[in-house]
Amino acid sequence: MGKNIAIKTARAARDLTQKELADKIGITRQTMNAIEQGDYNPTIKLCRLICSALGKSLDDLFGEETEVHDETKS
Amino acid sequence: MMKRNHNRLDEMQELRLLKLEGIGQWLFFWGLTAAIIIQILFIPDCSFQTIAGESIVLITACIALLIASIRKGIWSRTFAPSLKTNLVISILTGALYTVINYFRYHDRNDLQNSSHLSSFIISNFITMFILVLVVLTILSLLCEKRNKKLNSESNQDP
Repeated sequence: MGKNIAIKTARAARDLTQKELADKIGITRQTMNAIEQGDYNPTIKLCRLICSALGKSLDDLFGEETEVHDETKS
Repeated sequence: MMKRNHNRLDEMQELRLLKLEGIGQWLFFWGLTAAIIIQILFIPDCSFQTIAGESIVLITACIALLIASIRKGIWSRTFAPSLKTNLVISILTGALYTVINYFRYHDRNDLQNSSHLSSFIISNFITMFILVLVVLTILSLLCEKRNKKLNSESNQDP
């Protein structure tokens, strides 16, 4: 699973650190980092909480176009 | 905000802990099994009282796990309940049981005679083979029956 750049971008736009966003949602920073790095697939419930916290839709943050796979990097 | 009232862990930590607990369960299972086998093999005149503690814990845990799995209609991660896998497991269990019993009793006088030894090996193997095959067959039928019932009860449009 590739990195989730959309979450990172949306988080940065709101000037939130991973810790701040994680605390807002009620998860650990470790989990938030794992989600952004593509190392963990959150449940739909957690996806919705993240979207709600960042004011974005599921498609915006978790749609297929948001994934960045390492092999496409130059 | 995600509730963490009774559980301090978030969902990822919970999944990780469940995996660790699963690993722990297997360590306990194989550890107890090894302890029982080692005591049977190396303690002279090892009676059931000697291995009663470990046996009771192991059997209780296995039965509890078995009942829970069958109630959920789950047999195995890799194998479907079938006669072929049941036969293979029965053969392996029969062979293991025979080998353990052989090492336990090999210095008995009557086993020095090759015909007695053959009878010993065959009877041990067949006894355990039949027992395990019957038990596995019954359990796999129960599991399949439960699975069908669970699938038929799921909310589906008519």
